[in-house]
Order: sequence, then C-alpha cells, then structure tokens
Amino acid sequence: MEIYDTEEEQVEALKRWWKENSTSTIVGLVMGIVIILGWNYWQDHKKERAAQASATYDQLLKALDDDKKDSADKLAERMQEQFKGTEYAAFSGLFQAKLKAQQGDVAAAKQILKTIAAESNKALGNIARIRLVRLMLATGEYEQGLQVINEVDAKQASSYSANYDELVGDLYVALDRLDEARTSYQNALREGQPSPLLQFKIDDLTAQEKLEAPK
Amino acid sequence: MLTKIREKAQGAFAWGILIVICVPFALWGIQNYLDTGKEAPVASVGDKDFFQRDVNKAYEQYSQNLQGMTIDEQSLKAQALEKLIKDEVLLQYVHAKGLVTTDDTAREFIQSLPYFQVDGKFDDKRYKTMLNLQKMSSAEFVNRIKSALIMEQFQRSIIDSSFATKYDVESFFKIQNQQRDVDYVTVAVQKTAEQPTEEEITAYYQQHQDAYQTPEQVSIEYIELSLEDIAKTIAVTDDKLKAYYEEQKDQYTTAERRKISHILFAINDKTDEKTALEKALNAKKELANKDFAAVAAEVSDDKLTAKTGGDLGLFNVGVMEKSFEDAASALKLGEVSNPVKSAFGYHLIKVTELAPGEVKPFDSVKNEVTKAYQKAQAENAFYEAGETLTEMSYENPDNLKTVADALGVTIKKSALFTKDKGESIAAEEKVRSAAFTEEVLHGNNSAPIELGTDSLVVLRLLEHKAAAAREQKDVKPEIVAVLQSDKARRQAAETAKKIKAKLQAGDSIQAVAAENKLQVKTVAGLTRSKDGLPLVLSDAIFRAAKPVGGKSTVFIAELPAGEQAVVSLSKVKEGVMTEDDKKQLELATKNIAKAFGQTEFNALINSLQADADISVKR
Repeated sequence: MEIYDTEEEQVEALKRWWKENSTSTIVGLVMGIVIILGWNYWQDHKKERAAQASATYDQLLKALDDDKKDSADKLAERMQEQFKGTEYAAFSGLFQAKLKAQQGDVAAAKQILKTIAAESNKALGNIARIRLVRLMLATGEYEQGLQVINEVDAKQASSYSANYDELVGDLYVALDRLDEARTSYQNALREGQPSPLLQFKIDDLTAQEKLEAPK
Repeated sequence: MLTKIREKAQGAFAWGILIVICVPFALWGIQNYLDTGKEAPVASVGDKDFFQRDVNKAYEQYSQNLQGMTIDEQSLKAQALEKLIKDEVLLQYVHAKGLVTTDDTAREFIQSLPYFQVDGKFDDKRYKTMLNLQKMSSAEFVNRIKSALIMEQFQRSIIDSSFATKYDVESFFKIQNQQRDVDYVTVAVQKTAEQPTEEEITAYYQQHQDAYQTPEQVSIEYIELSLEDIAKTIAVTDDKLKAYYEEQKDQYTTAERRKISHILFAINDKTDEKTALEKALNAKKELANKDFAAVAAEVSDDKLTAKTGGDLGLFNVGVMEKSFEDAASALKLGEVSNPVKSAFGYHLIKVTELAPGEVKPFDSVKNEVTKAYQKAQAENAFYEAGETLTEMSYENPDNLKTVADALGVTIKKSALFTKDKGESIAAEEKVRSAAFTEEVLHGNNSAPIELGTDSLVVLRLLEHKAAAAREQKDVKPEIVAVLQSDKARRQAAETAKKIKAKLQAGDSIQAVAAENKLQVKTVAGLTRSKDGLPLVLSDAIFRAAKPVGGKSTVFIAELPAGEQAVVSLSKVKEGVMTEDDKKQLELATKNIAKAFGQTEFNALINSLQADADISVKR
C-alpha cells in the first residue's frame, strides 16, 4: 500500500485516479442501478402475476366447490392461457381433465393430461401420466397404456413406482396376463404403503400351485 | 504500518481506511461471538434449521391432539420432528414453484376463524389478545397462515383433481362384492392322554430354558418421609391454635348474605337531577303504605329489574358504586333507604333478605384447626427433612442408618418383589424401577423417589435373587401339558392333510367327512363383508386360488384354537353392484377418486422428500 506524506499529495492522487477512471466508474454505476431497478421490477411483476394467478385459481376452486361445472371449465381454460407456464395453469389443467373425463369427453381429457405430462415438472408430470394411463385403461388401450409407463424414465419416477406398478397390474389383468399382473401388484405392495384394495387384487390372483404345497 | 496510520489518523483519507478496515473486523468479531452462543440445529431442510425448541413446540402441539393416550415421549418427539420436516419440504417446494396466497385471502381466512370471533363476528381485540397469549406477532401469525394456505391449496390441487373412471368403479365392485361358495370340514384337536417319554420332556426342557425361569427378585430397606406422619408429630398448644385460628379466620367464617332490591330514578336528557330526586322522595313517601315491589314495577327506570320488583339479587361488595354500597350495607332487613345518588340517578334501596355472617367459634372447629395447623407447620419440616434425606443419603451411599438416625425415623423393610409386581411399598412402580437400577443393585442408596407430592422415599438393596432356572422336576407337569397339546395339534394337522389329499384326488367331501365322522358345512355366496365364519377362515377363503376347469380348490386353514379347517372352494362369482351400491354410486366414485388422489399425493410427498436436502442429527 502506498503511504502519502501530505494531504496535498493525497488529493492529487485522487484527482489523477478520477481522471483515468471516471467514465468506466459512471458507466458501471449506471449499469448497476439499471440492473437493480430492472430486477426489482421483474420481481414485482412476477409477484403480481403470481398473486393474480392464485386469486383466479381460488375462483376456480370455488366454482368446483359449488359444482358449477361450466364456469369451472371456462375458468380452467382461461387460467391455462393467461398464466401459461405457471404451476397454477397446470393445476387448472388437471381439474379440467377431470371435468372432461366426468363429462365423457375422454379424448379431450387425455390430450390435456398428455400435455401436462410432457411439459410440466417431475411431480405434475408423473401425476398427469398416472391419470392418463387410468383413462387408457378405461377405454381399452391396454397396450398403449403399458407403452406409456414403459417409456417413463425410472429415475424420474422412483417414488411413484408403486402407483405405476399397480396400474401395470390393472392393465395386465385387463389383458388376462395374470402372472405378470400378480408380479406387478406384488411390486406395488412392496414399494408403496399398504392398501386394502391392492391386497384384495393380489389375493384375487393367487396361483394354484402355491396351495398345492402344505401350509 | 499501524503506527503510521495512527500518526496520520487526523487526515480524512486515513479515517476512510480505518473505517474500511475496522468495520468489517468489528462485524466479523460480533459474528463469531454470536456463533459460539448458538445451539446446534437438530435437523435441517435446505437452509432452514430446526432446533430442539422447535421440536419441543411441535411436540407440545402434537401431544395435545393425542391427549389421554400414553405414547412414549421419545417416539412422539421423533414423529413431531418428522412432521416438521415433511411440512418444511412441502413449504419450500410450493414456494419454489411460485405458489402464493394473497393478503386478501389470508385476511378473509383469519377473519372466518371462530377463535377470533365474538358473536359470530371477527373481533380485532380478541384477535390481538389470542396472539399475545401465544406470544406471536400478527405478522408472524399471518405468515404462518399464508404458508398453511399455500400448502393446502397445493394439496387440494393434487387430491381433488384426481378422478375415478367407470372402469375403476366397476373393477372395485367386482372385487369388493365377489361371492365364493365353499364346503368345509373342521378337524378338532383331540386331547391325548398319552404320556410323553422322559427323553422328550428333557429335550423340551433343555430347548426352552428361557421359558422356565424364576424372575429376578430383590428386597429393599427404605426410609419413607411423609407429610402426614410429620404432621402428627407437631406439638400443639391452645395458644398456638388460637393464634392460627385468628390468622385464618376467613376459613372459618360464613359470609353475610344480603339480598337487595332497588327502584331507579334515572337522570338523563329528559329528567334533570332535581326532578329525579323529587320523584324519588315522592316514591319514598308512597312506600309507607304501598309494596316496594309494586312501586318498583310502576316507576323504576331500571326496566330490567322492575318486572321482578327491583330485585338485584345477592349483594356483592365491589360491583356497585361506593355511595350505593355504603347505603346498601348499612340497611337493616326490610328497611328502605333514602334516595342514594349514583352515576345512573337516584336509587331507593331495600334489603329483602339478610342472613348475618357467622364466625364459627374456636371450640367447634378445634379439630379442623389442629389438622390444618399441623399440616401447615409440617410442610416446612417436611421440606427440610427432605433436603436432609437427599443430601445425607447421597453423602453416605453405603448405608441408610446415618440418615435415619439424623432424622429420627425408622428403617423399614420390604418383602421380595420382581420388576413387575410387588406388595405394599413395592406396589409403587417408581419404587420397583428404582430398586432395579444399576446403582441400587451395586449396593448404593437410591436417589430420592417422590410418591405423590407429600411422600419421599430413599431405598437400598437388602437381598438380590438373580433369575434362576427352575428345576426340571418342578416344571414337568407344565412341559407335559405343552407336549401333549402340541401332539394333539400335530395329529389334527395330519388328519387334515389326509383329508385334503383325498379331496384333491377327487373324493367327494361328504364321503370323506363320513369316513372321519365329521360334519360338512356349506356356505354359498360368501362375501367379504358377511360375517359368521371365523375371520381367519373367511380371510383364507378369499385368499385362495380360484377353481380352474371345474375343479375345486382345496386348502387348509388353521383356526385360532388349533383346529384345522379343510376347505373346498367350488365357485367364485364376480361381484356386481347391488341396488344400494347403485344408489350410492356417486359417493363411491368420489371416495375411490379421493383414495387415488391421496396415494398420488403421498407419492409426490415422498418424491419431494427423497429429493430434498434433509439432514437429521441423532
């Protein structure tokens, strides 16, 4: 570190430094301020948008509570357009798919779930896919359903494997491939939480040989 | 360099340098001090730390929900921590995903909570009082509510958006309402009189040593301090008792009962003070030949009491204004006061009932006083003796005599008892567990044990009997019984196996049953919900493989008492919806959808937890 002997020398040094660096200092400062302001604006905007999305979404939930299916459907549609890309848009999609499925428009429901499965994050993607396959099971697209589950990246789905395995079991039962169904159900039971219905499904598929051996 | 700086410290530049250097140092210093005072977190999720106090708080709330249940504290605390972590993981996730609650929503929700409402309306004062009680600021509370609302919004979004298709519902009923037809025979366990051989008994005895042991036992000597015993020894004199009686006179006094009525002449916009007083004086005159209640009903401005003759009920000091009270307490029974002024106006007051207060004379309560006096005096002595007991029994761990002599109490002895059961003093669970601690078994005095609030025990070991094997000859009858019943069961199982083999070979169940002198029972259309059969049996029936190609499935189910049921399952009929089910179809669909949603949500939560950065210190 330089040590200056007199105050005049210090002032001189300061002046010299300022002459050399004034432009870049000012540009730097201005840029800094712009960035901070811009960032703040962006944050505020995001917050505002999120608050709006949440409020509109609450309206949708309210309409569902009151069993106003038409206005719920419209609100869900609006949410997905206006707040595309937000979590709330995806939630609205899930509800709209439910509405469509209830009204018998399975094709529309599937399309919505397919979109969410493809575009959303891991959590919602898995949830949408599980429901999509459940619709396929109902409409007899068993092989296609197995295909969808087959294509799931195991790493992405680890915590959901019990859900998938039970569905796979259901699909195999529908295809009358009972041995494979049994194995899938047993996997689901091992991975997930105990469920009476799943236990019933397993018990229903008990193999003959098992009982030939003395208990 | 530092000296140079100090020399130049008057210059502006140097000041600048000093500030630049010193401030961070100073702050760093503070940081370090703050850090050392900090406790270590017990768990963390991302950058959120949880401390023991958070766990304790959560545990308190958690255990309040489980009031009356005895679950051990440690595992409850672990559960509380688990829940804290689970909630935090979810909270961080929903925040990261940009979920928010608006201020309006939070406000609306808070205002709808009944705790903060008075007469069905939100009350700000009550809200603040309640928060103060919880030592929580409004901002903190609103934040918590907001977090809770977001998490709830998220949970709803997943669970409520799930659905069940017609196929799902039909599959459910196919299984749920399934019917099965069975025939079965039950092979009973026949008691056998056959005596097992000595070798068998010895072998069994040697293999099951653990089962044939006398439990570990101890006997103890102990000192018991009890408040009651000390109280009995407190000497009393009449003088002391009387002094105590004087001091505690309130305890031995019944208060005066004074019931009053009044007539009010209100002072308000229409009636000034003078008019009110005049009215009061007139009424007073009228009362000379008129009933107080009648006048009250007629003229009193206190409309509420006017109907009941002005009755104000029992007179309590401290409720009314002083002028009113003075007048009311000075009156005799039946007397009517002169007009008395209060903030409301002028009152005429009448005492309608008067039972004078009574002080019970010393002689009539002497027994009570003696007991109370002795107990009060003994409390000090008990406390002091307790201190002495604690100290001396600790300082002289190898005997009780020292402290017993010092306290002038006798050492008592117990009979032998086990960890689970004892008599008299050993009936106390605390005493038993203290007696079996390492410390006591090694020959030291126990720590003081509190039995209730007014009894204190210190004990030491007298005799210790280790667990010991019981001799074979002593336990022979027990072993014989076990072996015999084992054998009987085995025989039943063998018979059952033979029957099963015959049925599988194609023999009719009637023929086989007749051969073995058994009864065939037939159940057609058995459902899961129908009872009547033993649970193990109907469970086994629904777990059995379905008959294939017209050939019944034959299997054995062991019933609780060891009987063997040989079952032939002849038919499985797919379930259909009953009329009742159809009526409830909407509800059933909803419930199945909800169950789906719940499993999906659980999977989601597990997935979040698997991905989160959680560390728990053990």
